[in-house]
Amino acid sequence: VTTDRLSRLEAESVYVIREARARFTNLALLWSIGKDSTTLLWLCRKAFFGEIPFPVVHIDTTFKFPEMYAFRDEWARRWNLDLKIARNDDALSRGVSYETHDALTCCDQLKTVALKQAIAREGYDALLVGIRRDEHGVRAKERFFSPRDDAFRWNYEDQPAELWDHYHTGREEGDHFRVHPLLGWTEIDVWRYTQREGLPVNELYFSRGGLRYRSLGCMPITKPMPSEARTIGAIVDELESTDVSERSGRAQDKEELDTMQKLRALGYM
Amino acid sequence: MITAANDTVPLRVTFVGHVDHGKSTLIGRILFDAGALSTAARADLRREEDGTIDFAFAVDALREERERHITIDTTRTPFVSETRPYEIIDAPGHPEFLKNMLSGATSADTAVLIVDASLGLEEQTFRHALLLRLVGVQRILVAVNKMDLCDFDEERYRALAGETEVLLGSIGSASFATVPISARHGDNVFHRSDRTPWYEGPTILEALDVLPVEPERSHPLRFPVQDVLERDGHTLLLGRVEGGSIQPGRPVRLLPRDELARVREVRSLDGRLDGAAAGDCPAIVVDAGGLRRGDVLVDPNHLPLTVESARVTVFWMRGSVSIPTEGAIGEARVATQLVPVRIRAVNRRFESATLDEIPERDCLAETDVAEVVLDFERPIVLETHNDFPPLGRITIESSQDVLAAGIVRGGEA
Repeated sequence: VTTDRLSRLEAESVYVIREARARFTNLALLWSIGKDSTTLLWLCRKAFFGEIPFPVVHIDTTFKFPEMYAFRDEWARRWNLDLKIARNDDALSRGVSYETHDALTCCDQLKTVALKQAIAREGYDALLVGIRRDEHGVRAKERFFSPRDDAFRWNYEDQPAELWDHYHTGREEGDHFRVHPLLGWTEIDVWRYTQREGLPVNELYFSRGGLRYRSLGCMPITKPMPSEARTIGAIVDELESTDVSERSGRAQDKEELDTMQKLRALGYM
Repeated sequence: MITAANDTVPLRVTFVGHVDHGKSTLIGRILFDAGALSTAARADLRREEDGTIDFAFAVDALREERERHITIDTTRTPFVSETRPYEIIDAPGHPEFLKNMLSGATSADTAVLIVDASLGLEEQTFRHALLLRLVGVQRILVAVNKMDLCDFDEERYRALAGETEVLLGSIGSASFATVPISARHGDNVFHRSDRTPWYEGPTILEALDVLPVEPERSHPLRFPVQDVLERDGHTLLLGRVEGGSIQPGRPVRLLPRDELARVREVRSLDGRLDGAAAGDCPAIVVDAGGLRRGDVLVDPNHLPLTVESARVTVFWMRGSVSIPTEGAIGEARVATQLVPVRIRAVNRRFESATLDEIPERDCLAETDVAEVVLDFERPIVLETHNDFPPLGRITIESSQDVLAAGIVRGGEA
């Protein structure tokens, strides 16, 4: 019986991933190209022994870092992923961008609406998403299996019971499920696991000129932080001594105290 | 502050008790004293008019929770003490959020039951104590909170500690420690209080820090098939080893079909091929065909029960239902099995807020706790909760809702 923390977390996540594949008919994985969903993607590969038996969806706002697109394309090829790119071309052609619109509108149009379009097009009934409880107070309220209605609303005031690992998957017509295998992981767990498993790491996470990105989002609203960490070990050391929250570089969270809650209620990941 | 203890398995502690007795405040206080709150989260804590801090804001992050000063849903927060990592699970104290309290309790191995020193035992104190017992949380620490409101009076503390012990004893539970605290002011939470000179026991953190993470019990092989994957001409049975271990070449019995087979291959997540143990999620290849989700591979010399009826203690969570039910009311879930189920009879029925027995046994109402007899549409593999919790936990769900949760007492003719 293993008592090592990372192996326990890995087993918990694999159980949840397999449960999702067994209970839904049209499952997909949302890959944002960041460290968390890349870890989730790796866990999906391990859960099914090398080949992921469902599509991997990247919601492309077109405002990601060039290093993220390069990372996506290289590893999608090397891992033989069934990669689907979801973009809200309608909004983009209307000129929705961070230069002309506020961050909340951009997030809603380029992420949430793009995802709604993908769900309508492909008929996904469940999505694997790499969120963690320790990211944000509101995320600490999440379940492993979380239903969303057709408007993507998260009914956080009346979530279904989640007892032991008996994940309930009943849903109304038009609803889909968000499945969160990484809920129990911390930011440091993700880095330690990335190191243990030898996962590829986007260079943006490492210090360049005294700055590194702790969390990757859209380029115009994602700021680096002062750091000298050039290795995973140095990142772990840095995180062990900081009390600044992980998403402090993400502008959309700061505009209002409960923006995150609003975004999640609207269907944002 | 995060220390090296971060690489071990966390102790999962749920905080339960009646509404307003101080669950969220105690958790916020622990996180604050442990230095586990980020700069932003600390800035977010609200200061009361008298200058003290409202620590509940650390876990009650929903806007509605802050506005109404209540906890709506369970929150799970990691933190690391000097000796070990924890997962802290807040539970709402309002009766309408009991399903959220249960969702928290079923993922905990230890509970802190909070009792308000000035108000004493109330409805949810009884109900939460009973539900902890029902879902199998056996380690309970009693925190007598708000001692500052009764001048840290020793007699008041002794009386309440005694009452709580009587309550726990009446339902077959016991506490491993009782601590007089003030969550708001921090007495005996992280730091020993000089306002309780008559108390010589541990602080909350001292009492929790010395608990071992619950040891896994040794048990014969139990491998419920979770999913089946065709790969390279092999049928891989995916699942988690719930009990015992499994190696290539060993015989297994396939239930409920009751057939003997041999294990051909065991593939672990890390690529090892020599076997897997409890907690591992391998793929198994056996020399038998036609297996599917819900089948269970077990040690042929130590069989669980395969039954069509069972005696079960349940907490009824949704609406009311007359007994016996007309046909199936939903599906019963045990491990990865889902089998349509009807309720044949109610043997005993209790009001969970008072622990009083209800004589009428022709129906079940929301929040009742009852021992019932279930009839399954086809044979199901299970064990009593005492023998083996992973196959002794049962939920009943409809297509929309979880109707009931409980534990298996035994098979039934």
